[in-house]
Amino acid sequence: MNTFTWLLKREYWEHRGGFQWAPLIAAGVILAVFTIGALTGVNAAQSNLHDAVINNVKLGDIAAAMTPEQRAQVGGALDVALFFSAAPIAITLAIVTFFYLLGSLYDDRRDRSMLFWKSLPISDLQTVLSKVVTATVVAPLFALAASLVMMLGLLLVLSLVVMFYGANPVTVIWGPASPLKVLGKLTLLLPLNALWALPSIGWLMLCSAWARSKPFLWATLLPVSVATCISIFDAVTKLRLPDSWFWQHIVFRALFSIFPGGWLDFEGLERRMDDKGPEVLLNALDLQTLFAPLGSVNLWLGVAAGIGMISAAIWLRRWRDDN
Amino acid sequence: MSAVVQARNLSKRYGASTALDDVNFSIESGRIVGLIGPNGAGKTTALKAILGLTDFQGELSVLGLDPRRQRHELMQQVCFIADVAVLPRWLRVSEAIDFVAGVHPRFSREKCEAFLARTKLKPRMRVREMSKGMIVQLHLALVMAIDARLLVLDEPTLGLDILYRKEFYQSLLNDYFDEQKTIIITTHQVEEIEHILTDLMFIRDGKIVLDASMDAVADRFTEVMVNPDKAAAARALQPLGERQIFGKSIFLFDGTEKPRLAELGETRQPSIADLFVATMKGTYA
Repeated sequence: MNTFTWLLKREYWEHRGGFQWAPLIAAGVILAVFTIGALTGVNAAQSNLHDAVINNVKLGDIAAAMTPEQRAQVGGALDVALFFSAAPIAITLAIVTFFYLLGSLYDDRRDRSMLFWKSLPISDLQTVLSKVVTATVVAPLFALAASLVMMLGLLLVLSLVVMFYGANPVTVIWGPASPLKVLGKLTLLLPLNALWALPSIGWLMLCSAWARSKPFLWATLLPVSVATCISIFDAVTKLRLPDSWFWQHIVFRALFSIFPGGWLDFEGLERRMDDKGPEVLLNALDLQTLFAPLGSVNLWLGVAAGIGMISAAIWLRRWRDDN
Repeated sequence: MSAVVQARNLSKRYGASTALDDVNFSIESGRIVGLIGPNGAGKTTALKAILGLTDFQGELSVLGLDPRRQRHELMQQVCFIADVAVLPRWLRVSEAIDFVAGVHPRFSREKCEAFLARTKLKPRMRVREMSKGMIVQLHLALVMAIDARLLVLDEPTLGLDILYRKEFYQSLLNDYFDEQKTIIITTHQVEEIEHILTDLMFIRDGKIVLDASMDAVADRFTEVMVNPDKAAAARALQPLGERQIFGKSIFLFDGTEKPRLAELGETRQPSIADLFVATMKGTYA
């Protein structure tokens, strides 16, 4: 293994709890909530009905009578449900990554273990980049693995429910649903999430490398107070300051781009879905949608700003002399 | 023989205060140099400059490299323990060994494991579960298993009890040091390293006030125990220092001929600690 791989491994050792366990716990919570919901539903149904009947038709019979088209619709609905059930994991990932980045170049300065790392033949460029790769690749891969576990778990619980109603889970659930396709779509989002997140990554790492103490307060209060000042000036003076632009393109990009899918053109998606049902959402999330942001100046300006701030963080890591 | 460290007009200022003031020195290969000075004299700044951890004015070459621009190359051959360096609390012994073995081409896993076999450290242990002495043992085992050409130790045994300290200096000399290596040590426990040093450097207010080999120090400095009746004669020879003990005066002389001093009383080799006290007189005044 080369030095860079070892650096990634080091980040994993240090942040196992955040990268590996937090998404798994989130997955467990989603599964538990879903299972409890299903159990309550089944329980309620049991007390009302002797057999699982909807409008006097057995669910098993409905399932058997489904046309291939209907089956595809069920599959589409299941896939969309799976896709959005991963949202809590994505939010967990974003929060973990946010605090990981804030501490990435600060924690070892505070506890002075930085001098140990600096006594080894590792360049500051490698160190900082290993943390960028951890935030953009390693951590999301762990979250994806947790998402897969959760999706399979959800389908399993659903199968049991369906079986309870006398239907065949293979034809009703496992045939139509395609968890792997959903996972594939989620994986496709990775590179764009990473590019989109660069301004946040850069800003948080810059604060982490620069702050003498309390990087969180610097990272949040600095942009928020500047934006607030601009808003106030805009309100009380006749100067037409672009305050909402500043909030949207500076403050939010610096702090919240770390949330996956923030670059999605939700209005466009809605327009494409309007004529059809939500089941076409996954199809709407095709390469065309995914690569559309690559053509936007906004994305690339953010990437440039992110790279600039990461470079500044590397420089600070090399020369910050406060130990 | 080329110098391992060569400093010319080395200066470092922090705002208004001067940590290093136009310092010149050179350290040859195969030496064990004690860099001794009071708190705030510039020891740590000098070491940081050598290790490329801080910017400076003047010229400094370490193993022929510029520590500012070629730090990465330099760290292949240089290792250090900073006085305040601690190992990260989450690190396990086995992870520490794996990591250093992975990134350092000159690290010997066998050597490190041999050092650790003499301690109570277990592979699964985390730094946060260790006592202060155990953390230092782990750190020293890692560093001493690296075949570095220059080893810099800034207060390596800070906070350790005397058993650990003795053992550390002994294994540093027996298991680590050879003619290809150079060691720079700073410590406040001067008396413990005095017998392993080959060279001595005193630093005061950012200046090097003494830079000599231990042999030269033995030649230059003499301590004489003088009875009160000869005290005036001794003072006339302009001693470096004077202290009283059991009604007698002990004078420390720099460069005065030994036969002449023998006439005044019993002469002996001063300890580094006494030399240090005499040299640094008035530092905190």
